[in-house]
Order: sequence, then structure tokens, then C-alpha cells
Amino acid sequence: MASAGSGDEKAAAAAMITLISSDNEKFEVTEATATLSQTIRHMIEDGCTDGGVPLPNVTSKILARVIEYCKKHATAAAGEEGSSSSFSDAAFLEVDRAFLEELEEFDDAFLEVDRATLFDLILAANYLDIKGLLNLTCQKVADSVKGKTPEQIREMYNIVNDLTPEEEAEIRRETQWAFE
Amino acid sequence: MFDMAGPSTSPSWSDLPIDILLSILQCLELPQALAFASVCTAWRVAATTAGVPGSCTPCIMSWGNHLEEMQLHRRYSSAVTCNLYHPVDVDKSYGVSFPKVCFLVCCGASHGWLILANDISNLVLCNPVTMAMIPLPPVTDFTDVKAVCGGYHRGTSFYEAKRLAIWFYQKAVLSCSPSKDGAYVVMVIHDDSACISFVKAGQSKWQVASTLSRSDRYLDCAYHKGRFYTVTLNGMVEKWNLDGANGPTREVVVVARPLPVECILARHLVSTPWGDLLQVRAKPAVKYPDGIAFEIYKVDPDGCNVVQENVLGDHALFLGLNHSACLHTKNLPGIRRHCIYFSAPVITHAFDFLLQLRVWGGARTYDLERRRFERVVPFSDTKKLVYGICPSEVWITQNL
Repeated sequence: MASAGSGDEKAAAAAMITLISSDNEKFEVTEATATLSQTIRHMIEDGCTDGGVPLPNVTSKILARVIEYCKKHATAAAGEEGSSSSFSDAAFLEVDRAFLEELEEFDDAFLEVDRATLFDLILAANYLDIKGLLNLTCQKVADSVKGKTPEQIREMYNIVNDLTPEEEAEIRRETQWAFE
Repeated sequence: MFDMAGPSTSPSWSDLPIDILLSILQCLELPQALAFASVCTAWRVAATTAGVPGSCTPCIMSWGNHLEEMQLHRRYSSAVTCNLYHPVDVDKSYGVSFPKVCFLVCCGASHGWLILANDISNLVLCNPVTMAMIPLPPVTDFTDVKAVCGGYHRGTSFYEAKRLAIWFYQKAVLSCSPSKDGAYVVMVIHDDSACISFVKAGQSKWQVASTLSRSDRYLDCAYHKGRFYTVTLNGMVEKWNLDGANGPTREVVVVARPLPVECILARHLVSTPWGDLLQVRAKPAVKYPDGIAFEIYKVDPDGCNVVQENVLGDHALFLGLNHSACLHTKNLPGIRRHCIYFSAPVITHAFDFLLQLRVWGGARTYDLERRRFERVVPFSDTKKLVYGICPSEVWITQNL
């Protein structure tokens, strides 16, 4: 083949993985994108990705979002690596900062979702073991409860208060010093 | 096409796996973590697992980035973040951020509240969970302190506004929680431990109660059966009546008995749940494993009497810059009976001696039966102990 000389590196970079959502939709992604998920990374290492990777816990709607996140972050990571050898330190820092800023903007926009989607994203990030996405989504929940009372949090997240009157009394006793 | 995924069944946030709840908790500071713990059973279990300090549990507050800010930058720009630790599980900590202006020095902790000095060296009561703040009368109330451009004159010396507090206040104690009925009294030891002053809720001025002669100094004060008691280096115990029509009056319960200055490292007064007033004394003891002995006395109308060794029963003591607490260990998982949870204040009168000790400084427990410090809380770093600047950690306890 004419392109045989391009080497293993290029071949590896171009390797594609097929992810299959719970509702049987197929997504083609590069290995670099897919391996942001530790779960998938391990499957690749174990060589069990032929014929696609079934993800029975993730719907196509959520998987599409997760892939969007991974693509962006994989690109950023690759860009960062590539730049380190070809720029002076100062230029590298400049590029680095630009990447980080862009990523932050992306993350902020990415999190503009309703609570149900956020919930599914958290579960998917946990199941696929994507540390960055899990941190990002958990931080979003944490930010949303800041300054809220337990009752407001229940309302916001549609949580039924299943504490017994005894437990509630205990909590009141424990926290009265703090909240009175 | 994506809608083919079907409507996600209304997600239940209370069913999130515990790992995820723990990840969320990690992003929360204490006030939010406590609210989080009160939402539902699953979240409460996660909070307990994460070591969110149940408010009944005493916790120790260390100064987080405060020390570095004080020593290195001295810019006082950002917020101060302190860490709350459970004394049994010090790997878990919770951050508490204070607005910078309200917290330059901690002068005490009582009934869940902190007594802090702000950036112009005035005292402020602060609830570390709700961040409720109650300002106390200004430092300029005290004799000899005068506001001048950029700071204060104290006697003939000039102090930067924010730095006076470091030198001026030694310890402050609250009679009760300000959140309950508001009828609290704050007593403060100040002016090189020579003076005690107080202010009642709603009053706008500090009142000086006492000024000692140069040869003695106040080491602790405690609120016991409706009265403040104070103890001095030389062992004098005074009982204060702050309600008299003609100003505060005092009664000497135990007379001073001067000892060589290095014989006493610390004295603390402790009001016990069974109604006694105890004096706990730390002194050098060459034969003890760590070179320090704690002795417990009962303060009686006829003087200070040594008590039986098992006087604490199932209780533990929490001593330090905080108001001294004696708590039953029954409801405090992991807290050991008959132990002193000790957070050593910087003791100016014996400072040279303390530097020679291997074990002084920071927060630790002292087992009264084995007569030694048993457990060094790992986050204490005595190397950072800088005379007069390093605040010691405080125990935050409730008296419920």
C-alpha cells in the first residue's frame, strides 16, 4: 500500500471505536476520544471492542452529549501535547491558557442542561468512569445547593423527605446551634 | 431521532449511588454539607460516611491557608478558608470560608460560635455554619488604645489597625450561645493577660473588670452556674458578679500561691455537667513519658483540692483557646473517655521552655491513665509555630 510508510502512530490515532447506546444507536469515535472513559480504555486494552462497545446504561441522547464532551477534551489534550515541543515556553503558556479558557467556556455551556439531563450525565460519567465529566457535573450540583435550605433542595431536585419524625428531631437537635 | 431514547423515568436524586453523593459532598463547605445531610435518608447516610461533622460532635478547627497568608503575603486579600476536622477521623475535613475582613485572629470558641478579631482589631462573634456575625464594641473602648491615622496607639506604641489584635487579645469566652435567647456575656482576657473585660448583649461598651499587678496574669476564664470565674498563673481563682449596681464585684475563691514561673504551663477552668468547677493544670514532669503532667483539682469554697483520678468518669475534656468543655462520651462516637483533647495555646510565660519540648503545640489527646500524649493530630505543624502569630487550633463544642 502506498500509505504504509505513515507508520503505526497514524494508524493508532485514526483507530475508530463503535459505541452502542442502550437504544441501539451506533456512534463512531476515535480511540483518543473513547479512552477518556476509563471503562472503555480497559475494554480496549483487553481487546474486547471488536463489533462495537455496548453501553446498556447510556441512552443515545446522553451518549451523544458525553461524546461531545470527550471529543472536546481529547482535542484539547492532544493540542496541549503537540504544542509543548514546538513553542517556546512563553508561547506554550500562552497557548495553554487559551486552551484552558476555551475549555472552561465549553464546560460552562455544556452544563446548561435541565436537571434530568444533568442526572443522566452524572450516572453516565460514573458508569463510564470519566473523571473530568464526573467532577464537572458533581460541582454543578454542589453549586446549585449553595445557600439553599434542605426544603429548597428537596423541591429543586424533587426529592421526597423520607426521614422519620425521630430522625428529623435528631437533625434539628444537632443543627439548632447552627441554624437558629 | 435522539428522542427515541424514550423519556428518562423521572430521575430520583435520592437514589444516586453513594460514590456520586460523596463526590458532590466533596465540593461543599460545611454549611451546605449540613443542609445536604438533612435532605433525605440516602443523603444523610452519605454525609455521615463523608464525615460531615454532626453538630454535636466536637471538631477541631485548624487555620487552613490563614497562617500562610499571615506570614508570607500579609496582603489579606482573599477569603480565609479554615478546615474543620473530626478528632477521630482527621483524614476528613470540611472547609469554612470567612470573608477576609472579619477574620484576622481567632480569640476563642464557645457554644459553637467563634470569637474573631476583624481587620481593624475589633472582636466579632461568628457562627462558622451560618456565617451570622455579631459585632462587639470597638477596641478603642479599652484604656490606652487610641485610634490614630492608619492604626492604633496603645500606650506609646503604634500598631497597624489589623495587627493590634494579635497582641492585644489573649482569650475570649461566651457565657451562652448568642442564638438562643441573646442574653450572652463575652469575657475577654487582654493586655498581656493582665486585664479582663466584659460586655453584655446589647451593650455598646467594654467594661474593665480587673487589672492585675505585673507579677501575675490571667490564664483562663469559664462560665459556671451563672457566674464567670477566672484563674491566674499564680493560681488565684476569682468569682465575678457582673450584675451589681455599682459595677462588677469579685470574690477570691482561691488565693494566689506564686510558684516559679515555669512550673505551670497552663491552667484551665472547666464547668462540669455534674456541677463542679474543675481546674486542670499542665506542668512539666520529668518522669512522665512526654515530660508533661496534667493534674485535676476541684475548685471549692475552701480552696483547690486534688480530686480522685477517675473524676472524669465517662467524660472527656476539650481544652485550648476555646472555652473549656467537659462532655459525656456516650453520644460522641470515637471520643475516648478520661482523655483530655488538648490544643496547646501559645503560652508566653513559658515560651522558651516549650520550645525545648518535643511534644508541645498543635492538637492532640492526653490519656490521663497512661499519662502521655497518645495521638498527634497530623495536620498540626509545630514548625510553623511562630511566637505570637501562630494561632492554635480551637475545639468547637456544643453544650447542649
